[in-house]
Amino acid sequence: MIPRAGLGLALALAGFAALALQPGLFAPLLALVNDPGQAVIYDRQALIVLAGWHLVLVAAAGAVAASVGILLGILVTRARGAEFLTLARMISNLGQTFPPIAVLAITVPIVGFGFAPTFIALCAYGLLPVFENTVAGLRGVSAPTLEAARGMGMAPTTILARVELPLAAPVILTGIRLSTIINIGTATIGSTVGAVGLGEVIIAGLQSGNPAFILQGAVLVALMAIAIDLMLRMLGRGRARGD
Amino acid sequence: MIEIRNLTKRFDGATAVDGLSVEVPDGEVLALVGTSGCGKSTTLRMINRLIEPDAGQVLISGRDASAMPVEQLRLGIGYVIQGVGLFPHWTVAQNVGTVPRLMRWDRARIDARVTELLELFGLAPAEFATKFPSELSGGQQQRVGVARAMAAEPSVLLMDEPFGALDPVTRARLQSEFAAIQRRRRMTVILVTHDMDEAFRLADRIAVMDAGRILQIDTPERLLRGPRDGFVRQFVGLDDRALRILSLHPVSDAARPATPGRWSVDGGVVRDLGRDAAPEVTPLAPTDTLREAASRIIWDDADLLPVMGNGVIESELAAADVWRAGGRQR
Amino acid sequence: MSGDDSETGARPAAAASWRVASVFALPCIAGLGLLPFLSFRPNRIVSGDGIYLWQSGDAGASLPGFALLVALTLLTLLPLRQQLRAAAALAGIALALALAGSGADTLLADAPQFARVSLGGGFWIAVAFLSLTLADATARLALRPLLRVGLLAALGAALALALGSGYFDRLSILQEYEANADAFSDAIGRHLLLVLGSLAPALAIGLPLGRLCHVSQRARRLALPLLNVLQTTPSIAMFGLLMVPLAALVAALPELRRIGIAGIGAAPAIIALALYALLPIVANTMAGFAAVPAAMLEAGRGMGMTRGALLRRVEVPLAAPVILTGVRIVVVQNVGLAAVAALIGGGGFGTLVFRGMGQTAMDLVLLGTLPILALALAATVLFDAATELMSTRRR
Repeated sequence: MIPRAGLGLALALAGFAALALQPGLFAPLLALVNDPGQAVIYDRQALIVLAGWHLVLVAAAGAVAASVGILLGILVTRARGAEFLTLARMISNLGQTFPPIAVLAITVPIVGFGFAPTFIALCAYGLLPVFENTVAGLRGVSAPTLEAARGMGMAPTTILARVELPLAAPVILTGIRLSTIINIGTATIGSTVGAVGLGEVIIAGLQSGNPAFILQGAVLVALMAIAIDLMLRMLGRGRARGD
Repeated sequence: MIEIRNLTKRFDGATAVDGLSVEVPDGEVLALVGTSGCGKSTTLRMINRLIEPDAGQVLISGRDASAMPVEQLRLGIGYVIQGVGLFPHWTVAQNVGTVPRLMRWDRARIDARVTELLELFGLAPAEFATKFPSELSGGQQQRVGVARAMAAEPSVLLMDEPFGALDPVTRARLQSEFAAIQRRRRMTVILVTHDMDEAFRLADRIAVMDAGRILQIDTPERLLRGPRDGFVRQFVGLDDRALRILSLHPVSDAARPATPGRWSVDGGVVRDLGRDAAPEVTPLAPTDTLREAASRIIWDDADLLPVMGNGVIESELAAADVWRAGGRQR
Repeated sequence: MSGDDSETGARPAAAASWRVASVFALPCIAGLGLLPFLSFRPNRIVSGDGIYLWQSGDAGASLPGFALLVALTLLTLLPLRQQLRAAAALAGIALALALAGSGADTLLADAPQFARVSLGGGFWIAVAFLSLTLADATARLALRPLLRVGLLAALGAALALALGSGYFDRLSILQEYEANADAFSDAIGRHLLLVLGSLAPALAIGLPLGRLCHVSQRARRLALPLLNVLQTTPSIAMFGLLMVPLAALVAALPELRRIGIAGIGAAPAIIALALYALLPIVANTMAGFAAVPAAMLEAGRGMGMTRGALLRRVEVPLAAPVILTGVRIVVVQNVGLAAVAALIGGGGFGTLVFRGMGQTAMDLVLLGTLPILALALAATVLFDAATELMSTRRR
């Protein structure tokens, strides 16, 4: 499995880099789907720059979502926060039924168009899988393990840092992966409300009836998502064993 | 030395432990036995304050447990539980070294201690130190669990159903290994179990508990010979008490000097010259239990068996003496 | 081991402590106090002036209304029975709606023709947190599944009646509805067509594929990475990727257009949604079959059941709740994704959302968004109830 995932990752990265850095190479291919005379390569902004902004947006929101999600997950699994657990889970479950597009649409009236609504939507939406998985991971630590840790004289913070979090890490990492993948997609939709990113290329293609634009934007976003997914999966496998 | 005075705990109004007092002198193994819900685990967990008592006192080597910082208290007490609770993300060596690391021993001392303990429990360090718990059998995991509890040479060891999750064969093997280690190390141990055989095998004294109180506390033999009330009788199991009493004694307890000329030893083969045709017999060892001896006597249809120690026939064991050892008037 | 949940475990409390309840109530009150309840705009697209709740109608009605709403919210903090808590929250929601309706009437009474009144942050926050209180209280009541569905239907009907009564017609969002009534009713049908139309092929492929993956490791190795890639691909990209080849196909075979297949429109949307649905269905089908206890299969075989009988009588019924959970995930997910399909002409409520964004008409955006949310929530309640019915009946 691992070599195959490695191969997939290498292919996705190579394809992504080639298309983002040297889109001209693919011009003859892309020209096939366009009418003669139509522009073939998106040129209002370099693809690699758009990809960069897309990543910055996802990474920044992901960092916020992951830290807040993990922190909340830790809080509600402590003895003092336990009474909030049912509540937090209910809100999280409800939140996950909110479609990403609805989160975006609700944020725009509050903060206006551009980077901000997408960033906020990404933070809020990305929080949920991280929170859910942090709770699941921490609660998945077996009772005898915790009992032994306490019985041996570990302080609560030591138990959290050296036993609970390392054991929950693979599950938390899965949450971060899910959250990141969802956010790459949501950030793409964010281009409809003015966020700078690869979605812009697809939207431009849709608006001007330019299939080549649609195709290059779609392929780039898809490759980016697949590459990041595979990277985070491999990271998770590396961590699954040992500390 | 552990002194427990008037220890009491209630859960939601129900009394789990009811004014319990007991003293465990240094080097003794005390077993708390009883049905589930009798308060034995709660008692154990109040000693290292995993449960805080509602009333009463625990003194360890004269120091009041409630007056010590709770983590400090626990570092000085070994704790073994049924589910083992090994840390799955740490190697065997890291698991065993947990408490020494928490106590900030230096690296070399930890390594030496881990190696010593793994050897003590028959786990070759070269092979096992770097394994993860998931790569061990149940018996091996439980050995690591006990080794981990003993790592920082605690003055007190608390064990809650330590071998409960194992199959009978492995359980028996670990029990005798632990008994052998205990004979050398003389730790102060409180063992919680619902398995009477385990208590008989390991404990110096047994406390039978019911409804949060100790009904009777005595040595295994006195408990078998004089159970005080109905519950204790039922729990101790009187149907085979003679055999259980025999199992508490080594052959050396009932052996007498060998009759001169009765046994011949020739190249490791022992013959009984007192019987027709001088048949070959397998001698007993002085450390065999009288119960094993009784079984041999019945199977071989013998009334006298040789006892061999250090390659010579030291003594002999008569059936009548075995029967007397297990009988009521003694 | 004795029960010591106090330190490590988290027992779900039947009654909400005031600390938990205040997580809902305090933001609700803060929202009412700090954010405008309504916003008044001279015309449809300019930004408006915030109107606080106590300013929103004539002083005789809006000030007591504000006080009553705060009082109802505070009521949910008391250690009441959950029925009362739910009732207080429901009354609060109704009151907020009524105040919004009457506020709009008052504000527009002598305003210019194109003036609009929209719902403000205070309204949304109050309604959102009161709804959460309602959801929390009903969840703690642990109602029977059919009763939950009944309550949902009753709430929906009450809301429809209220909106149809004309009482709220002066609110901007309903004016948007009036202007887009045809598009709205088209959107309902289209959205459901996209969701249900993609579900059918997804089930037809996903269920057998899931079973195959359960039985054969080889199938699993081949199918799962592929399905993962599909699931990972962002929705817009997926729509785009399907649209281009379909358009080329239609250009090559014009007959296809006659049976409704085109590069843009419902066809690529349904295909994309069906592809997205595959992974959850396959994964849950596998999980469902894997969760059937081996002892039960052994017993079935031991009693002489054939493989077919075993599948029909033992495996499928036991796996069904898990599979149904997968279907729920898919339906909720596709309700949201179908909105994106509007970008490629797929129709549905997304059309209103994107049209509203294009015109910076936020009430039109909301007109598209709220039904999407309602559909997603309704699907969740319905499927949860069905799953529960299925798994409790047998006990």
